[in-house]
Amino acid sequence: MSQAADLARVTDGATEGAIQQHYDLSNDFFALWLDPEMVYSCALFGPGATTLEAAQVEKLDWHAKAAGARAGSRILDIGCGWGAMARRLLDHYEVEHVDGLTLSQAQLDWIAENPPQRFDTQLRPWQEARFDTPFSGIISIGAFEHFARLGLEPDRKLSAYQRFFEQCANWLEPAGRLSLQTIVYDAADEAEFSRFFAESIFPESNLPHVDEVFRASRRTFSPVQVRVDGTDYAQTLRHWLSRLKNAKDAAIALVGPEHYGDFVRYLGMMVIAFDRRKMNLLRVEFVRNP
Amino acid sequence: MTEASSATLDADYRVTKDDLLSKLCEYVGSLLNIPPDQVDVDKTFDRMGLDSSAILALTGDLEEWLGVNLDPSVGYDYPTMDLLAGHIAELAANQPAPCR
Repeated sequence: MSQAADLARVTDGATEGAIQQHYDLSNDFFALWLDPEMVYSCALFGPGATTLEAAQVEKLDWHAKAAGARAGSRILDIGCGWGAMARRLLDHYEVEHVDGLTLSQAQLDWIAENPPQRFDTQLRPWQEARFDTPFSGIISIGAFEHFARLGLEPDRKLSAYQRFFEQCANWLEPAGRLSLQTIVYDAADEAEFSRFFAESIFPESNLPHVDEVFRASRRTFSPVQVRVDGTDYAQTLRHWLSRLKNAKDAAIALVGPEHYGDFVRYLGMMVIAFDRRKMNLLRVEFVRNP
Repeated sequence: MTEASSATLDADYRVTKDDLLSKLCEYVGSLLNIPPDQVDVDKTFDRMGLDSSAILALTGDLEEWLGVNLDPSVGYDYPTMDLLAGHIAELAANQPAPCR
């Protein structure tokens, strides 16, 4: 693979700069309205989970189990955020080791303030990561949305997703598990992707359609469990929006009125999109094909 | 019921449906560049050409004006000015009397 081709592979998705435009805005700002573990993805409101905190733990546990986490497991977290999944795996599943990949320097800085043992992080896209020892499980929550950028030709978009699944299969032990969570288009499609989102909120990003996830993974993985949980995302977003509005003055002091207004608008638009099924939330447990 | 879906009013007066309709006609009239008295209060926001961002801006301004928390989907659950004004006026009427 030439250097130019390698670069093209990475830039099919969001670059480090695009990721940092959103996620590096301010750790203190995100801490105002996320739960204390800083989980910035759709929670799972099962029958017992009445608070955002409990629903986020339920979501982390769903993925931990889907990835087969247990004592001695080695898990890779692609898009590790502020490290909540890794801390859950280490503290409650006694896994041997977790590797985390992110493109956000602010998230790494936050993790580095209280670094868990047996958790290694890298500021690196999955396309450039190298690991010597195979993993028993891989978890990727809320990162797939950044693996193909808006405007890619459909074939190239599908190829970008296929390469992700191929890379995960190469990193996994035989019969290893991949637990994936991503927002997907439902009634909407790329033509309806808001210009405001593309420019101000999630640059260089796009959503997959449900069928693209399964077409791209067909050769390398088989689905074991599939959940479609858009109503959980609408509920998660309402919690975030309510917390953010309640912390308005502090938020504006941290990031200014323009960013505050953009986040209120983006979270509100997402609520509407999930309520109206323009978008949906997909969680899939995959097993690596023989 | 989630945290944000409950609406509360803390304005120091009782807003009526007519107050709200008048405000909404003025707001939407200026958006669409037509006189307020020519705004069709029974036409859906969608058919008026307001997208989700514009509807959110409208409900956000109502929140500021009234000191009220409105759910982001309220403009879709009550998709005309008449329905929305009726809903908010009902919320106002169900609030305890303001302290003075």
